[in-house]
Amino acid sequence: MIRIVALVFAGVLAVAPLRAQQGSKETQTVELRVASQRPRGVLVDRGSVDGLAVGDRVRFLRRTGGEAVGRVVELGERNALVALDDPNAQVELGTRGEVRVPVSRLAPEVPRIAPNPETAETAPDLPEHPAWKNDDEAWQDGEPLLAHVVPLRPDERAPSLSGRVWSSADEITSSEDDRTDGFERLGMSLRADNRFGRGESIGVDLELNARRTDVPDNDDESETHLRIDRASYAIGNSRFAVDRFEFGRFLQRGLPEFGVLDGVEWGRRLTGGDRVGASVGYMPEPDQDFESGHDFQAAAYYRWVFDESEVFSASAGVQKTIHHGDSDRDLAIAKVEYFPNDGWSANLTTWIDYYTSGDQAKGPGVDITQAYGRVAHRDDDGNSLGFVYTHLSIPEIDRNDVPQLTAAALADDRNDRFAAEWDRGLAEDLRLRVVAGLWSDEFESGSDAELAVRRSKLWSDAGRGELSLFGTRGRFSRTYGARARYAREDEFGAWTCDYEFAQNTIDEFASDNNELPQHRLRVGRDWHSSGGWSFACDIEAWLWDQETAFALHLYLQRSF
Amino acid sequence: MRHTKIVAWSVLTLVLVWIAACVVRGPDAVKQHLWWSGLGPVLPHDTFPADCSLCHVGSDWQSLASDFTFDHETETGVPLPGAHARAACILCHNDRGPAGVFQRKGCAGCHEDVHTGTLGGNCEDCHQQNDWHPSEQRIRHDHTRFPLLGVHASTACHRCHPGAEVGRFVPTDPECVSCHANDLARTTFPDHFAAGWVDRCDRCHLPRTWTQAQQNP
Repeated sequence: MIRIVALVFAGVLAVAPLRAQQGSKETQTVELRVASQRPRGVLVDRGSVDGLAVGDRVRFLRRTGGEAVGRVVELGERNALVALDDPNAQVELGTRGEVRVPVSRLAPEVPRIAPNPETAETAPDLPEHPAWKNDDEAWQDGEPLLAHVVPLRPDERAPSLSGRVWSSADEITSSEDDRTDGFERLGMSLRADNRFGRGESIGVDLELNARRTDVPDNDDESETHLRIDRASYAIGNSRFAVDRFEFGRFLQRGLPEFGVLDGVEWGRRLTGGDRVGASVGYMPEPDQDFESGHDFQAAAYYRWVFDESEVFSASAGVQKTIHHGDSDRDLAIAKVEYFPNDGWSANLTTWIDYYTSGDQAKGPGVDITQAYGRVAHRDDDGNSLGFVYTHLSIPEIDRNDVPQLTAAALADDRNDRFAAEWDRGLAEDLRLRVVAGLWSDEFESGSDAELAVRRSKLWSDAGRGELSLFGTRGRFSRTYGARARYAREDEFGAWTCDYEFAQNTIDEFASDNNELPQHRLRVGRDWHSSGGWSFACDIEAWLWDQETAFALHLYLQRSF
Repeated sequence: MRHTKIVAWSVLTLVLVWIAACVVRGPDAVKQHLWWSGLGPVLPHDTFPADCSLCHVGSDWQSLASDFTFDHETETGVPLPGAHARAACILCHNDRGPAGVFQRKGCAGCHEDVHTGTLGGNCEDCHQQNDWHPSEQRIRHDHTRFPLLGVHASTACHRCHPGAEVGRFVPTDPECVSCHANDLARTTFPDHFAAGWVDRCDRCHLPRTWTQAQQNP
């Protein structure tokens, strides 16, 4: 019996340290990052206070995939040097890593010692320190004093300059009357932010262009234009300033539907994120000159948001224009937007004109001149389904903004279109896209459809191809055709090649000879550098049964 | 008289603006730190490593290390396609609002809509994200009531859309004479006006060239 008890006791004694040893091997994962690269390895941002010790194995998880493994060879209080097993391995700055350390190494929580009431009672009276507080506006009661990093005020923030300079050339030559068209453009867009330390933004957009048309039997056309698209100074609309003002020439910010303005716009962000604003000034004519001084406008708007996330918002605005001193357009804009985070999006914008008895073509009343509505859903795999509705008629206004039409045409002209777009992945490298639409105008109705299959990794990992079949029942014609595209990407951009064939039938042509086959071939190359340079070039050719045309498009841009 | 009206409208508008500015609640009534619940640095740093020197150098918080890199997609789940990868962080992460609100709106969250809402928000239908240079808009025309037949396919956009250079493509009337009024006016043989041929050009002309036409039987 004694021997049995002794054996059991001995067994317990033998197992006890083993259990203790097992307990000491309970580990915890400590995450770390590569702070810098050293000749012997990499320096990580965790050290002895985080439980690391010399000899610990560290596993690095590369952003591009794959792992690297190393061992701690030097240890600091808050950093450690890790020698990689593969001395040739490269681990980038900021790469995440992890190491498993025994729980026993981690600093135990210091128990709070309850004050001794007797000692407290006998302690001498000390002047009470006022409550510690953080004056930063981001700090709230109950938070640790160093809870937030102080946000930079505009006067603490460095000024910045961004923008782009671009040029393009389009040359078209056609066998139709030996016609040639040329269009060269040189543009610049600059944004200077916080230049004077007040959080302001100065914007300048310019374009110089020249176009010419040569037709041997007619007078040549040649035009050169310098257009200022923007020259404005904007200030405010930050968390430090609820009011926003913009002066000069600019696209109105509150409701861009009101167009470009030479004047001033004011906007204010209200509690909860609502916005209200107004603008006054002249509207440049929307053509190649942007000539101003003919159309004066005054506008106001209100934007309501459901909450600060602006998931759901509704806007309404009114604009009154005066053309050469005479009352012209009374326009109202109504807009609703819904952008939740679950892939859905919906928006509807309507342009509503109010006509008086002086508007003879339309007659007094209210008319929805234009509408754009879209509802769509897109999932994480890129599958999407969307529906679009557009309505367009021509407003009766004096401003040089619409085609010159007869009163009857002005009263009746309209175009409505409803379309559906569906994009779905069929396999890992294969997608299907379907677009179908119905249209209706004051004379006729018609439809259009396109079915496209896209294949990535075609003929190479960087290749992709697309084959489309399309058909359109248009206002004057019927068109059926097919389009094929192959693109191959590389480190700097992509090559693309397109071929399209369309068979067109002219409805009203009073002959059997109303068929017009049309071939189109396009080869293009675009190139982009990490330094902000972009270059695109493509050559396009059209071949009909009797005529041909060729086009060359060049585009060069430097952004900064 | 016109000048007087303009001045009157300007004064009236300014008065209304002034009244509106006075009536609505002023900035004193707004607790500015409640503008956005995540107020702090415009770039949330919650998940960043503890070692500030990984990114910041110098004596201020504006200077970043020359070898600073940030994999936006890996770290945040939001990819930066095309030129977005080269853009300065502050263009999206600024003190004018949370970047998440901008992102939710798509392109319109950061980019001005020079088309003034008339073409919708699917910018990528025409623009590509490396340089915003539009291309292949002609294909979009197949989804309208006026697909580009014959020489229309090789015609410069501004010929039919006078505001194309400033992003304005509508409204446009599809009737032939809307764009070909000058061609009609130049016609001498046969005299189209005398014959009353002033519309429905497509009865005699195919969109190859104006010189090829057949007389309406």
